[in-house]
Amino acid sequence: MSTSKLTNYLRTYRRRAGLSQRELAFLLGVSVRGPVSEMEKRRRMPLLRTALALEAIFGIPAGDLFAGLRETITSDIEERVDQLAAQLGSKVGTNKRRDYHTARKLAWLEARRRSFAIHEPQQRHAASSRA
Amino acid sequence: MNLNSATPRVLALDLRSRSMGFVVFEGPDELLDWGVRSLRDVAGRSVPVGHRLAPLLSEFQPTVVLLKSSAQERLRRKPHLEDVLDTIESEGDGRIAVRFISPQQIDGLFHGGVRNKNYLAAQVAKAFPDLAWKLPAPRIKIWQREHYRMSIFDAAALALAYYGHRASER
Repeated sequence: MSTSKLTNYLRTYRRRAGLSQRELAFLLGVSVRGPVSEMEKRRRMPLLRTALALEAIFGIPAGDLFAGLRETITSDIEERVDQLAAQLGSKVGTNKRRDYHTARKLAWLEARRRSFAIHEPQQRHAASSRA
Repeated sequence: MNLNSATPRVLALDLRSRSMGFVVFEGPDELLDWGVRSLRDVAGRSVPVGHRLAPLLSEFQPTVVLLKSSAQERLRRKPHLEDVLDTIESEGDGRIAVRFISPQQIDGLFHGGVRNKNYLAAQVAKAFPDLAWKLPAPRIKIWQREHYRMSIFDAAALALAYYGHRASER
Protein backbone atom coordinates (compact mmCIF):
# COMPACT_ATOMS: atom_id res chain seq x y z
CA MET A 1 0.00 0.00 0.00
CA SER A 2 1.55 3.34 -0.96
CA THR A 3 0.74 6.79 0.31
CA SER A 4 1.49 10.01 -1.48
CA LYS A 5 3.02 12.69 0.69
CA LEU A 6 0.88 15.44 2.16
CA THR A 7 1.23 18.79 0.41
CA ASN A 8 2.99 20.17 3.45
CA TYR A 9 4.05 19.14 6.95
CA LEU A 10 3.94 22.57 8.53
CA ARG A 11 1.48 21.59 11.24
CA THR A 12 3.58 18.57 12.20
CA TYR A 13 6.79 20.59 12.54
CA ARG A 14 5.03 23.46 14.30
CA ARG A 15 3.50 21.14 16.86
CA ARG A 16 6.77 19.29 17.36
CA ALA A 17 8.34 22.64 18.15
CA GLY A 18 5.51 23.36 20.58
CA LEU A 19 4.69 26.65 18.83
CA SER A 20 1.22 28.10 18.48
CA GLN A 21 0.03 29.40 15.11
CA ARG A 22 0.25 32.93 16.47
CA GLU A 23 3.86 32.41 17.57
CA LEU A 24 4.83 30.98 14.19
CA ALA A 25 3.10 33.93 12.51
CA PHE A 26 5.17 36.25 14.70
CA LEU A 27 8.38 34.49 13.65
CA LEU A 28 7.31 34.87 10.03
CA GLY A 29 6.76 38.56 10.59
CA VAL A 30 2.99 38.38 10.21
CA SER A 31 0.68 39.99 12.74
CA VAL A 32 -2.20 37.48 12.48
CA ARG A 33 -2.29 33.68 12.55
CA GLY A 34 -4.68 33.38 9.60
CA PRO A 35 -2.04 32.84 6.90
CA VAL A 36 -0.35 30.11 8.98
CA SER A 37 -3.66 28.33 9.48
CA GLU A 38 -4.47 28.55 5.78
CA MET A 39 -1.07 27.19 4.80
CA GLU A 40 -1.46 24.31 7.25
CA LYS A 41 -4.86 23.48 5.79
CA ARG A 42 -3.34 23.60 2.29
CA ARG A 43 -5.64 26.42 1.23
CA ARG A 44 -2.78 28.80 0.59
CA MET A 45 0.63 28.35 -1.05
CA PRO A 46 3.44 30.26 0.63
CA LEU A 47 5.49 32.86 -1.21
CA LEU A 48 9.11 31.95 -1.83
CA ARG A 49 10.14 34.33 0.96
CA THR A 50 7.80 32.59 3.41
CA ALA A 51 8.97 29.12 2.33
CA LEU A 52 12.59 30.14 2.94
CA ALA A 53 11.61 31.69 6.28
CA LEU A 54 9.96 28.40 7.32
CA GLU A 55 13.11 26.55 6.28
CA ALA A 56 15.15 28.89 8.48
CA ILE A 57 12.74 28.57 11.42
CA PHE A 58 12.50 24.78 11.51
CA GLY A 59 15.90 23.97 10.02
CA ILE A 60 14.21 21.63 7.56
CA PRO A 61 14.68 21.98 3.78
CA ALA A 62 11.65 23.61 2.15
CA GLY A 63 11.39 20.55 -0.10
CA ASP A 64 10.80 18.37 2.97
CA LEU A 65 8.37 20.83 4.56
CA PHE A 66 6.40 20.84 1.32
CA ALA A 67 7.07 17.21 0.39
CA GLY A 68 3.80 16.60 -1.45
CA LEU A 69 4.15 19.80 -3.42
CA ARG A 70 7.68 18.81 -4.35
CA GLU A 71 6.45 15.40 -5.52
CA THR A 72 3.81 17.01 -7.71
CA ILE A 73 6.24 19.55 -9.19
CA THR A 74 8.86 16.85 -9.83
CA SER A 75 6.43 14.56 -11.59
CA ASP A 76 5.10 17.46 -13.72
CA ILE A 77 8.64 18.38 -14.70
CA GLU A 78 9.54 14.81 -15.60
CA GLU A 79 6.47 14.70 -17.83
CA ARG A 80 7.52 17.91 -19.58
CA VAL A 81 11.12 16.68 -19.91
CA ASP A 82 9.79 13.65 -21.78
CA GLN A 83 7.66 15.90 -23.98
CA LEU A 84 10.63 18.18 -24.73
CA ALA A 85 12.85 15.18 -25.55
CA ALA A 86 10.19 13.86 -27.94
CA GLN A 87 9.85 17.30 -29.59
CA LEU A 88 13.61 17.63 -29.99
CA GLY A 89 13.95 14.07 -31.26
CA SER A 90 11.45 14.73 -34.00
CA LYS A 91 13.52 17.72 -35.22
CA VAL A 92 16.76 15.75 -35.67
CA GLY A 93 17.81 15.49 -39.35
CA THR A 94 16.07 18.63 -40.57
CA ASN A 95 19.03 21.01 -40.46
CA LYS A 96 22.71 20.08 -40.04
CA ARG A 97 23.67 23.12 -37.93
CA ARG A 98 20.58 22.88 -35.79
CA ASP A 99 21.14 19.12 -35.37
CA TYR A 100 24.32 19.83 -33.41
CA HIS A 101 22.46 21.97 -30.88
CA THR A 102 19.55 19.53 -30.70
CA ALA A 103 21.93 16.64 -30.09
CA ARG A 104 23.56 18.62 -27.25
CA LYS A 105 20.20 19.28 -25.64
CA LEU A 106 19.16 15.64 -26.00
CA ALA A 107 22.47 14.51 -24.50
CA TRP A 108 21.93 16.87 -21.54
CA LEU A 109 18.39 15.58 -21.02
CA GLU A 110 19.64 11.99 -21.13
CA ALA A 111 22.53 12.73 -18.72
CA ARG A 112 20.06 14.47 -16.40
CA ARG A 113 17.74 11.48 -16.48
CA ARG A 114 20.62 9.11 -15.68
CA SER A 115 21.98 11.26 -12.85
CA PHE A 116 18.51 11.54 -11.30
CA ALA A 117 18.05 7.78 -11.55
CA ILE A 118 21.31 7.34 -9.63
CA HIS A 119 20.85 10.12 -7.07
CA GLU A 120 17.19 9.78 -6.23
CA PRO A 121 17.46 6.59 -4.15
CA GLN A 122 20.51 8.03 -2.35
CA GLN A 123 18.66 11.26 -1.59
CA ARG A 124 15.73 9.27 -0.27
CA HIS A 125 18.02 7.21 1.93
CA ALA A 126 19.74 10.33 3.24
CA ALA A 127 16.41 11.97 4.00
CA SER A 128 15.03 8.93 5.78
CA SER A 129 18.15 8.53 7.90
CA ARG A 130 17.89 12.23 8.86
CA ALA A 131 14.40 11.66 10.24
CA MET B 1 11.01 13.52 7.71
CA ASN B 2 10.82 10.05 6.39
CA LEU B 3 10.50 10.17 2.63
CA ASN B 4 9.70 6.51 2.26
CA SER B 5 6.16 6.59 0.88
CA ALA B 6 5.57 2.85 1.13
CA THR B 7 4.13 3.07 4.64
CA PRO B 8 0.45 3.83 4.93
CA ARG B 9 -0.70 7.01 6.61
CA VAL B 10 -3.03 6.01 9.40
CA LEU B 11 -5.62 7.91 11.38
CA ALA B 12 -6.30 6.17 14.68
CA LEU B 13 -9.47 7.12 16.53
CA ASP B 14 -10.50 6.60 20.09
CA LEU B 15 -14.24 7.17 20.27
CA ARG B 16 -15.81 8.27 23.52
CA SER B 17 -19.36 9.37 24.14
CA ARG B 18 -18.39 13.04 24.46
CA SER B 19 -15.12 13.29 22.57
CA MET B 20 -12.87 11.66 20.03
CA GLY B 21 -9.12 11.30 20.43
CA PHE B 22 -7.05 10.99 17.30
CA VAL B 23 -3.48 10.55 16.14
CA VAL B 24 -2.06 10.55 12.63
CA PHE B 25 1.02 8.49 11.80
CA GLU B 26 3.01 8.12 8.62
CA GLY B 27 5.02 5.08 9.56
CA PRO B 28 5.64 3.79 13.09
CA ASP B 29 8.11 6.55 13.93
CA GLU B 30 6.43 9.47 12.23
CA LEU B 31 3.80 11.09 14.39
CA LEU B 32 2.16 13.81 12.30
CA ASP B 33 -0.65 15.13 14.45
CA TRP B 34 -2.70 14.41 17.54
CA GLY B 35 -5.55 15.87 19.51
CA VAL B 36 -9.02 15.51 20.97
CA ARG B 37 -12.16 16.71 19.22
CA SER B 38 -15.17 17.45 21.40
CA LEU B 39 -18.46 15.96 20.29
CA ARG B 40 -20.34 18.83 21.92
CA ASP B 41 -20.95 22.29 20.48
CA VAL B 42 -20.53 25.50 22.46
CA ALA B 43 -24.08 25.19 23.78
CA GLY B 44 -23.34 21.66 25.00
CA ARG B 45 -25.47 19.92 22.37
CA SER B 46 -24.29 16.69 20.80
CA VAL B 47 -22.48 17.01 17.44
CA PRO B 48 -22.41 14.10 14.96
CA VAL B 49 -18.98 12.53 15.02
CA GLY B 50 -18.89 12.75 11.22
CA HIS B 51 -18.78 16.55 11.46
CA ARG B 52 -15.55 16.30 13.44
CA LEU B 53 -14.09 13.44 11.45
CA ALA B 54 -14.62 14.77 7.91
CA PRO B 55 -12.08 17.65 8.26
CA LEU B 56 -9.47 15.20 9.59
CA LEU B 57 -10.01 12.87 6.65
CA SER B 58 -9.72 15.66 4.10
CA GLU B 59 -6.71 17.20 5.82
CA PHE B 60 -4.64 14.06 6.29
CA GLN B 61 -5.99 11.81 3.52
CA PRO B 62 -5.25 8.61 5.45
CA THR B 63 -5.14 5.25 3.73
CA VAL B 64 -6.22 3.43 6.88
CA VAL B 65 -8.49 4.41 9.74
CA LEU B 66 -8.00 2.45 12.96
CA LEU B 67 -10.68 1.77 15.55
CA LYS B 68 -10.85 -0.34 18.67
CA SER B 69 -12.43 -3.70 18.01
CA SER B 70 -14.22 -3.46 21.34
CA ALA B 71 -16.15 -0.56 19.81
CA GLN B 72 -17.36 -2.91 17.08
CA GLU B 73 -18.55 -5.44 19.61
CA ARG B 74 -20.42 -2.91 21.68
CA LEU B 75 -22.20 -1.21 18.85
CA ARG B 76 -25.18 -0.17 20.92
CA ARG B 77 -22.95 1.55 23.43
CA LYS B 78 -21.05 3.30 20.65
CA PRO B 79 -23.66 5.03 18.52
CA HIS B 80 -20.90 7.05 16.87
CA LEU B 81 -19.38 4.08 15.13
CA GLU B 82 -21.94 3.84 12.34
CA ASP B 83 -21.56 7.56 11.72
CA VAL B 84 -17.78 7.11 11.56
CA LEU B 85 -18.05 4.29 9.03
CA ASP B 86 -20.53 6.27 6.89
CA THR B 87 -18.28 9.33 6.93
CA ILE B 88 -15.23 7.28 5.96
CA GLU B 89 -17.19 5.72 3.11
CA SER B 90 -18.50 9.04 1.80
CA GLU B 91 -15.30 11.08 2.28
CA GLY B 92 -12.90 8.43 1.05
CA ASP B 93 -14.87 7.13 -1.93
CA GLY B 94 -14.08 3.62 -0.74
CA ARG B 95 -10.30 4.21 -0.83
CA ILE B 96 -9.88 4.39 2.93
CA ALA B 97 -9.56 1.04 4.66
CA VAL B 98 -10.92 0.53 8.17
CA ARG B 99 -9.09 -1.78 10.56
CA PHE B 100 -10.23 -2.84 14.01
CA ILE B 101 -7.48 -3.39 16.55
CA SER B 102 -8.14 -5.76 19.40
CA PRO B 103 -6.93 -5.24 22.98
CA GLN B 104 -4.83 -8.41 22.54
CA GLN B 105 -2.94 -6.77 19.69
CA ILE B 106 -2.22 -3.78 21.92
CA ASP B 107 -1.07 -6.11 24.72
CA GLY B 108 1.28 -7.75 22.23
CA LEU B 109 3.09 -4.45 21.82
CA PHE B 110 4.68 -4.75 25.23
CA HIS B 111 6.50 -7.76 26.54
CA GLY B 112 4.61 -9.05 29.52
CA GLY B 113 1.42 -7.28 28.50
CA VAL B 114 -0.08 -3.94 29.40
CA ARG B 115 -0.49 -3.56 33.15
CA ASN B 116 -2.99 -0.74 32.97
CA LYS B 117 -3.92 2.31 30.91
CA ASN B 118 -1.54 4.58 32.77
CA TYR B 119 1.33 2.24 32.00
CA LEU B 120 0.32 2.12 28.34
CA ALA B 121 0.09 5.92 28.15
CA ALA B 122 3.48 6.31 29.84
CA GLN B 123 5.07 3.91 27.33
CA VAL B 124 3.56 5.83 24.42
CA ALA B 125 4.79 9.13 25.89
CA LYS B 126 8.25 7.62 26.27
CA ALA B 127 8.29 6.57 22.62
CA PHE B 128 6.97 9.95 21.45
CA PRO B 129 8.30 12.82 23.57
CA ASP B 130 6.08 15.24 21.61
CA LEU B 131 3.17 13.68 23.45
CA ALA B 132 4.82 13.61 26.87
CA TRP B 133 3.46 16.97 28.02
CA LYS B 134 -0.05 15.78 27.15
CA LEU B 135 0.26 12.86 29.53
CA PRO B 136 -2.28 13.38 32.31
CA ALA B 137 -1.56 12.58 35.92
CA PRO B 138 -2.56 8.99 36.76
CA ARG B 139 -6.05 8.51 38.10
CA ILE B 140 -5.65 8.01 41.84
CA LYS B 141 -9.08 6.74 42.84
CA ILE B 142 -11.32 4.41 40.93
CA TRP B 143 -14.24 6.85 41.04
CA GLN B 144 -12.24 9.67 39.56
CA ARG B 145 -13.03 10.45 35.96
CA GLU B 146 -10.39 9.61 33.40
CA HIS B 147 -8.73 12.64 31.89
CA TYR B 148 -10.02 13.39 28.38
CA ARG B 149 -6.47 13.50 26.98
CA MET B 150 -6.01 9.80 27.74
CA SER B 151 -7.85 9.13 24.47
CA ILE B 152 -4.83 10.52 22.55
CA PHE B 153 -2.68 7.80 24.10
CA ASP B 154 -5.30 5.10 23.48
CA ALA B 155 -5.43 6.15 19.84
CA ALA B 156 -1.62 6.16 19.60
CA ALA B 157 -1.54 2.63 21.03
CA LEU B 158 -3.91 1.52 18.27
CA ALA B 159 -1.59 2.92 15.63
CA LEU B 160 1.50 1.33 17.18
CA ALA B 161 -0.27 -2.02 17.45
CA TYR B 162 -1.28 -1.75 13.80
CA TYR B 163 2.28 -1.06 12.62
CA GLY B 164 3.65 -3.74 14.94
CA HIS B 165 1.18 -6.29 13.59
CA ARG B 166 1.98 -5.23 10.03
CA ALA B 167 5.73 -5.62 10.61
CA SER B 168 5.27 -9.08 12.13
CA GLU B 169 3.22 -10.19 9.12
CA ARG B 170 6.10 -9.43 6.75
